[in-house]
Amino acid sequence: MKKRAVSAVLAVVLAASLMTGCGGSGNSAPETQAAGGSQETEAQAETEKPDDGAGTAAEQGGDFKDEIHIVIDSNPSSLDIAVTTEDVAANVAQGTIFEQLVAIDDQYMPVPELAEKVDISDDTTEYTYHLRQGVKFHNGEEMKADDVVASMNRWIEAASNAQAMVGDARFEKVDDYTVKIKMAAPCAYLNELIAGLGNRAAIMPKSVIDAADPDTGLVKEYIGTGPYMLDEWEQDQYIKLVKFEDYQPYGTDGDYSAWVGYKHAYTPTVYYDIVVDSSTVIAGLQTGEYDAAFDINYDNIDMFRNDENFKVEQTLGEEAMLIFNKKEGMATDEKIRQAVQAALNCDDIMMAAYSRPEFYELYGSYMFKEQSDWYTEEGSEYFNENDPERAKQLYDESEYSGETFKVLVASDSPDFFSMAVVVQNQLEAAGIPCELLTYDWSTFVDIRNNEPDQYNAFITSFAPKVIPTMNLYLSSDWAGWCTDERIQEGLVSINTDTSKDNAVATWVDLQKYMLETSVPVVKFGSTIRFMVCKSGFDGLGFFERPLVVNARLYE
Amino acid sequence: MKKYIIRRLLALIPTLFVVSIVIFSIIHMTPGDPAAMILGDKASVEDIEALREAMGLNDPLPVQYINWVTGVFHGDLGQSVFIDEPMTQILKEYMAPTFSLTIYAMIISTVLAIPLGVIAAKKRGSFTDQGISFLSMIGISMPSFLLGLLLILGFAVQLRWFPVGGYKTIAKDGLIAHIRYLTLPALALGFMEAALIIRLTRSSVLEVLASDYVKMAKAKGVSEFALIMKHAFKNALIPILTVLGQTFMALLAGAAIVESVFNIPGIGRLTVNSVNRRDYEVIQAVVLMVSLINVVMCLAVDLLYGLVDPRVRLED
Repeated sequence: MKKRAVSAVLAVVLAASLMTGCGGSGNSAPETQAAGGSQETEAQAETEKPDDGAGTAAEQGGDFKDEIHIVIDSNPSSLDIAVTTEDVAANVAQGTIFEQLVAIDDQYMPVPELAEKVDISDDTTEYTYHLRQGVKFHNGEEMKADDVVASMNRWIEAASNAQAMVGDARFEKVDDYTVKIKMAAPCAYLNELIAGLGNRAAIMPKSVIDAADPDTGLVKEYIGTGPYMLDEWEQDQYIKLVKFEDYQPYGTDGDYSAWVGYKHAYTPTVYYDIVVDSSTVIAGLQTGEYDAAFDINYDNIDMFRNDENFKVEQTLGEEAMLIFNKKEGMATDEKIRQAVQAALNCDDIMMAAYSRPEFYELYGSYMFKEQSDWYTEEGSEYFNENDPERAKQLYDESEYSGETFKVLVASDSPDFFSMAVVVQNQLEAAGIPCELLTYDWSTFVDIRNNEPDQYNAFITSFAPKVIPTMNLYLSSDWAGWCTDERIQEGLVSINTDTSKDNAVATWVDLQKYMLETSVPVVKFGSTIRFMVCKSGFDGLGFFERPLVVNARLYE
Repeated sequence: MKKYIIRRLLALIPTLFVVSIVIFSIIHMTPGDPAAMILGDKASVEDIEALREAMGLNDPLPVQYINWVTGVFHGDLGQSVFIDEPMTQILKEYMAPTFSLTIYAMIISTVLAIPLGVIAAKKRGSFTDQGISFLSMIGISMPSFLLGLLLILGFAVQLRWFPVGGYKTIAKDGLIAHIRYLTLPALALGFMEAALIIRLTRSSVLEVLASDYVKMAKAKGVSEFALIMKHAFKNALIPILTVLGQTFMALLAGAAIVESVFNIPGIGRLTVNSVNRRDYEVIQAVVLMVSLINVVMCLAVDLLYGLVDPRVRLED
C-alpha cells in the first residue's frame, strides 16, 4: 500500500511537471502589464510614423513608469557608432546618447538636428553648417565647432563611403558655431550620407575623441548631446541609460518623425536588456519583465497580436540579397550571374525564410517602395524570373559551364540559411550544380572579405538607404567588389549631379542595366520587421529600431 | 603527503603550457578576427585590414604567443578587445555567477540524488525503485536547455514563482534575490547530473550490500539504518566521490547553455561570446583558468579519497 502511494505521488508529480512545462503560454494577463490600449490586427506594409501625440494611453492619463526595459539580442562590441557599423550599437545609442548634424525623417529626408541650418552652394561643392547654440554634452561642456570638426573628420576617416564622396576634403571651423566643408567636385547628397550611413556621424566632445584608444580607434567614453546618457553597462546583462537633465530639445513640441524632432525623454531610465535566447525574450515579455522587443521570431507575431496586453508595430525591414563575388571565379562571368538570376523563384526563397507572404514583399526595385523619389520598376521583368530553361541555356553558354556554383552563408542566421537551401535546390533543378558553404558568422565574414577564391556568392541583407549610391553592394571596395565601369560611372554621376531629376533618371537607367545585363546582385525580396510592446506604451516609435525618446509606459 | 601535493602542483606547469599552446593555435588558426567584429558587417575590407594592422593582429603568430605568455608570467592575462576592464576583473565578474550556479546545481543534484540512490538500492526491485529509476532515466535523456525552457514555462510564465532570466548579486540585491534568480537554472543544470549520481549511488550501494562483510554485520544483528549508513554507504562513497568531482566540471561546462537560456552573465556566455567575436585573449584566459580549476579539482578528489578510505595511501 505504502509503495503504491509513493509511486502514485511520483507519477502525479512527474505528470504535473510535464503538463505544466508543455502548457504553452496561456493568455493570462501579467500583473505588471497595463490594460487597454489598441491592438493591431492586420499587417500594414507601410512604415508607421512614430506617434508622439496623445495616444490612447496618454488620453487616459495616469502615471507612467519610471523605467522601461527594451530587449536587444546581443552585447554590442562598442557604442562608438561613428566607428562600428553594428546595428545593435546604433539601436542603443543613435538619437538617444548621440545626435548628428542632420538625421533622417520618416520620408528618408535629411533634417537638421544639431545644425540650426545648412547652406549648400549652388554647385554643391560647399556645405556650411550653422550649429545650434547652447547645446550641452553629457559632461557639461557646450558643443562647439571644434567638437563638430573633430567628430565629422573622424567619421570621414572611419567611413569609406564618406571618403569616396568627399575625397580629400575635411570639415573646417569657421567660428565657434559654424563649420564647413569644401569639396573639389560637386557632392549633391552629403547630408543624406551624414543622416543615413552605417557609420553614424555622431557628434562627441573633441576631448573624448583625442583620448580614443590608439589601437582600436574606439572612444573610451560615450558622451554625446542626446536626451539620454549612459549610466551603466553591465556586460552581457544590460545597458542603462538615464535622462540627461540639461538636454536642449529642438523643433516643435509634438513634432517628431523617425529619428528627428522634439525629444521629451519622458521616461527617466531606459534599460536595454541583453537577451540572446529568443524563447527567453518571449517568456520575459509574457511575464512583464521586458516591456518591448523587436525582431522576435515571426512565428510568435500572431500570439502577441491576439493578446490584448500587447501591440505589434512594424517597419521596413531589409532587402535580402544574393551578392555575387565579382572579383574571382565563376561569378565574374556575366552569363553566370544572369543564369542564377533567371533560375530563382524569389517567392519560394522568401517563404522559406519568413513563413508567410505578409512578412515580406516582392518587387524588383533595388530601392524600397516607400522611397518614392528613387523607386522604379525599370528592369523588373528580370526580377523573380523563375525560368530554369533560360538559366540552363545561359549557364551552358558561359565559360564556366560544368563547374559548381558555391554559395557562402552564415549558419548563425537561420533566415539566410533557409534561403540558401532553397537557392541551392532551385539552381540544381535548373541544371546548375550548387554547393553551400556554411560557417559561423566570424568565419563567414573572414572568408567573404579575404578569401574570394572560395565562393561565388553570399547571402546577406541591407537596411533601406537614403540614396542608391549608399547601397554597399554597389561599392567596389566592399565584398562582392562591384567594379562594373558603367555602374561606377553612374554612381559618380548621381552623387555629383546638382539636378535631382537628372540623378533619378541616371538611377532608372542604371537599375535597368543592372537587372538586365550586369546583375551584381539578385534581390530576393523586402522584409518587414516587427516590434512587440506592451499596450500601455505611448510614443514608442519604431523606425529601423525602437525609438524611446518620447516613450511612456502607462501603468 | 606534502611532497605528493607539491609534485601534483608542479605537474600543472607543463599541463597549462600545453593547454596554452593548443588553445592559442586553435583560436588563431580559426578564420575571423576581432577587427571585423569591431567595425561590423558593413565595414570595408580596407578598413578592417587597417584596424588589424593597428591592433597587431598581423604580427607572426609566434611573436603574438610570446608576447602573451610573457604577459602571463608577469601576471598580465591580457586585455579584452571589447571589455574595458583588466582580465582578472573580467574573470572575477563572470566567474561569480557561474560558480554560484554550479555550486547550487551541485547541491541540488547531490542532496536529491544520493538519498534517492540509497533508497532505490535499499528498496531494490520495488515500485519505489522503479519510480526513481524512471526519474533518473528522464533526467539523463532530457537536455538541460529543454528542461530549462520547460521550467521557465511552468514556474516563471505560468506560476510566476521565479523570474524568466537574469542574475542578481548577493552584494547588491541580497541572498534571497540571488537564490530566486538561480533556482530554475540550477535545477535545469543539476537534474541530469542528479540522474547520473542516483544511478551510480544505487549500483555502488547494491554492490557493497552484497559483500561478505555486510552480510556478516547483518548476521551480527546490526540495525538496517546503521548497516546502510555506517557500512554500505561509506564504502560506496569512493566511486561517488570520483563522479562528484567530474560532475562539478561537467556542470561548469554545461553552464554555458543554461546561462544562455536564463540570460546569466557567466563564464560560459563570456566564452561563447568571445569565441563568436574572436576576443582571443579572453578565450585564452578562460581556458587557462578552467584547466587550472580542473586540475585542482582532480587533486582535491584524490586527497579526499584518503580521508574517506584509510586504505588509500597517497604516496610521499
